Amino acid sequence: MTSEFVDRPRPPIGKIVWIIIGALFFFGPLVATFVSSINYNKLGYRFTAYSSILHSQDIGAPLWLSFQIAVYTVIASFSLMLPTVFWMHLKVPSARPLIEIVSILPYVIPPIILVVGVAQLTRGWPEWMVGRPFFLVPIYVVICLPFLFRSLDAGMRAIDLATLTEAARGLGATWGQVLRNVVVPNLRAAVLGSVFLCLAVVMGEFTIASLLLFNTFPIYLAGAGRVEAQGAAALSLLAFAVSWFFLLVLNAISKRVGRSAAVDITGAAGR
Amino acid sequence: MAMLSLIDVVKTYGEVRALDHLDLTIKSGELVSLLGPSGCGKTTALRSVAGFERLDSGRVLLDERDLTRVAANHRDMGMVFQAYSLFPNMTAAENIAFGLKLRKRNAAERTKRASELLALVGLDGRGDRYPHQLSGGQQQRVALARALAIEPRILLLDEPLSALDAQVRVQLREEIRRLQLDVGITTLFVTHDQEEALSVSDRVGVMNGGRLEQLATPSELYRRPTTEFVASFVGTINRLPVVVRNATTAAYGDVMLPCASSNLPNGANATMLVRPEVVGVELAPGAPESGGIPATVRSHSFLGPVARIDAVTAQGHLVLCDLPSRDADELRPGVSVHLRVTANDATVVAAAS
Repeated sequence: MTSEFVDRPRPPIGKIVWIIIGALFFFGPLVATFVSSINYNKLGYRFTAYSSILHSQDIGAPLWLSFQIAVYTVIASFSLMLPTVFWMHLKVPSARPLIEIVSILPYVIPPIILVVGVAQLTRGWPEWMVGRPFFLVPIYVVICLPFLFRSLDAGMRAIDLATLTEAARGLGATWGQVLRNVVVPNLRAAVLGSVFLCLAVVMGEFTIASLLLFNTFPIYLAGAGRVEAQGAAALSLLAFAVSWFFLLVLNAISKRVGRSAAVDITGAAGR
Repeated sequence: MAMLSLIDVVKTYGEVRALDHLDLTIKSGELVSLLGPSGCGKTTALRSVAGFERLDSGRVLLDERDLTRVAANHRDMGMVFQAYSLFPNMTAAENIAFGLKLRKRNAAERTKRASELLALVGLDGRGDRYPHQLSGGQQQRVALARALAIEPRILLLDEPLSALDAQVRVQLREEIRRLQLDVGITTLFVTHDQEEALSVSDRVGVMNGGRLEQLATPSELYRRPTTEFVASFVGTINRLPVVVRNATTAAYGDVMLPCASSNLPNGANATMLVRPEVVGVELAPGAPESGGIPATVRSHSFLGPVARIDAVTAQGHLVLCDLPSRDADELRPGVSVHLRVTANDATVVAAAS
């Protein structure tokens, strides 16, 4: 009866238009790349490029090498950053701006500069040290700093770190036990997110590995792509899919972080 | 049971002196509360005992053992915090057993002890709940059980009730006192709530500016405050400017008032402190000429069992008087009265500078 007086919401046409434009901008190149990866002109459309990438005999070694480097990078990064961010939160919160600036340096320093700096620094070091692919690990630790710092920082902000730490210390825990039994389990989602980001970064890093002449997975992918155009397009899409897979996993985890943080802070569920 | 002493403790944060030569001794099995306004240093004192603050100077002794440089995790003290401090990744039972696990007690012993303590704090059968599945009061009960699980030598309570609603607060403070008496553990309780402190403590220390103004039993603190600050912080009190005549008499204008024995020199300007409920009020026409302070009733508030009479003296000072309601019917605004105090109920302290 009164429906004629109800102010019905108008469809947000403007927003829809912008979403369509954004989607075209985003998906257009992907579709084009996909089409070119399966377009063999006179031979028609086929998935030969994907098949040859997946069945390649040479892909195993660089993939395994990149995976090992990624795992070592994750271990080294956490060994460095977990205690650092923990101590910063607990004892020297005033150091946050400094650590934040240091952590974003990899964003502002081009990889070539980083490589030149590392080369200068390690000039004269023994071959067994600088000549092996694991020499990339400390460099990748630096590259992962921004992701790791932000992820751990957000995780530690979401819990009452000081109180939990003091509660554990008061019950007799050493600093190591506090980290292992209290901090890390309550940062599980943030830690997992950081691990995935580090893995994604290392598994996809091309520039530094190429400049230092190590044959990691991205180097192999680039080399394979040079042989045929379809292969290059297929590799781009595969790399993109892997990155998106990690991002989606991260997104799912971050939602869990949000939920658990809300419970941790307010304890609202039980009140 | 253990005796705790803080000796000449000083702690500063930049320019702020949080603890200013604090001395405090808590006897074995005693529950002492530290009471005071925000920033008075009470929490810093407790955190110093727990080992969470590094002292500038002074010592913390537990049964003559110097703990000043001992790390927090080696002090054997159980603490309950103001904020909910249960480990979110552990169940209530796991939280309680955490300290025992660190002490390498076997699983069977840990489980048994956790069950006993859950029963002790009235949470039987809730050991498998996670902190977010418990109410605030239940979380603080588990925190108390967790603190007691390690059989600490001292129990430290840092405003554990302040985040709870009023009804739960009253209930839990009584439970804390019952548990403390049952276990017989020496306890330091920090609170800003005077009712909480007065109701559960053997002794209460009132802190101000990093110093202990007075440490006394609740009744002594209420009846015999030694400073104006203590008097004003604990309950409502009347202050009258007086001049000391001798150890047991002070002059308020021309009126000589009896007071509890004081050490102030004759002729000193002082403040007489009198609680509203001990002020006697008599209608002026029937009152004797001497011994009372002439005043006029300004207002009369009926508060159920008592009536609050606001009277203004001839010198212009406001005096609050709480009388049984049935005795106060005639004391209406404008009525002339005489106010009386007895020596036992009037304390004279040095005038605040």
